[in-house]
Amino acid sequence: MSISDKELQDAFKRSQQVQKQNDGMSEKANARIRERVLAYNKAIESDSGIKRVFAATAATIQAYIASSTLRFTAVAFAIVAMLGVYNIGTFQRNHSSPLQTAAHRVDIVQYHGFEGEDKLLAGKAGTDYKARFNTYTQQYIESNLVAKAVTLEPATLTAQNGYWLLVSCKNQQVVVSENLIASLNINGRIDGDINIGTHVALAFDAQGRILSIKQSSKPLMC
Amino acid sequence: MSIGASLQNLFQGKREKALGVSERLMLQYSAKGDEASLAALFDLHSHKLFYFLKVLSDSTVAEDMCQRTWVKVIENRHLFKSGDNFQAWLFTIGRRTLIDEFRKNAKLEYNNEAVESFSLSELLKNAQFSVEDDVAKGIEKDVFKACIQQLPYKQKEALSLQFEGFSLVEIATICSAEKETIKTRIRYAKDSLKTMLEKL
Repeated sequence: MSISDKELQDAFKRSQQVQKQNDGMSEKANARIRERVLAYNKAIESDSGIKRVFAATAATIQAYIASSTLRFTAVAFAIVAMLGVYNIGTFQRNHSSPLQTAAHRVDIVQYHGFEGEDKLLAGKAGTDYKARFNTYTQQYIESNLVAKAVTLEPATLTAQNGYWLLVSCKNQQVVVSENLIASLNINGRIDGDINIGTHVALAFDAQGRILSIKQSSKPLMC
Repeated sequence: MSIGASLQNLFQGKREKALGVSERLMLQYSAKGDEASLAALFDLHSHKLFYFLKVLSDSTVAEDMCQRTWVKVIENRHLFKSGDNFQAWLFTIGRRTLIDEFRKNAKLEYNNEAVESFSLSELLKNAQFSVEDDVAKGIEKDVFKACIQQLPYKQKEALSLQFEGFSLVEIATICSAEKETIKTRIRYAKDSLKTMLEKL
């Protein structure tokens, strides 16, 4: 008698049941797998639990950022920060050396001219700088004492409007009166061919008075 | 509640009712990752999976593959969708895991198509000696399982899946084969198995 498909199916189910109920090895193997699988799931879940906490925190922060409260806080913080930066800038301006901070700023102007020329020069310069006026006398120019230069300072001639305006490396403006230029020129203490932009070497005596204005062959080295 | 919402709930309820216990458990596990759902799924399906893998390999390999399959279920739980058949999904993962293992160990059982063309007499000759030998040595006390293990790999794979209650279409999907091919494999497997059991 031939075995039917139904009998085969039943035989398969019986075989499965035998394994489940009587096969100790399979049962133990299944128990081992169950234990490991559940332990793995636990480990995965605790790991993803930590991730969930991070995700929840991130979501809270995100929601907070989106809220109007934080927008106001951010605006307030930005204003405070801007004020802080402004104050720091003001403080630095007030406490730092003027020579270091401003290449274009000139705080010290030296006027070099004959006695009585200071008002005229100051008016020509049109500035309210703190000025130091070096008074020259005819006697001084002509004396032999002026022959000795103490310091040499590089400068650039920036304006020739009757008087000469020279800017030194230290951003000091040196204004030389027309009369003094003429006097120095007569005494051979000025090079004849000095134009605007020419680099010159200024020679000063011990009192800070200009002895000569000579054209510098080298570029202005500060 | 609006009429539209009520109808929607009604349809959703009907759809949920159509889901099997395993599918509901898996969807719950997929959403929560809870141990209780996983344990319930394991208790419902692990014996069948283990038996299926054992028929296709041996106890040691089956234990290892069974564990790996469940690990993959845990890791890929988000891939399970409503409407999927959980057991079919589980067996697909189990089958692929076993094939990967065979390929890794360079075993030729699966890829050897020639085994399908063995003549029935040749198969029976080999099977009879093997089954009698195993039973005599006490290696295999279950004669039916000893016989089914003698079948060519693809035949015993298809037959085992049919005995598990999968339809031809589901088996074709699990085995990535044509439905007609599966039908042929099952017919050959049944004929061989019947003959083997009648001879013993």
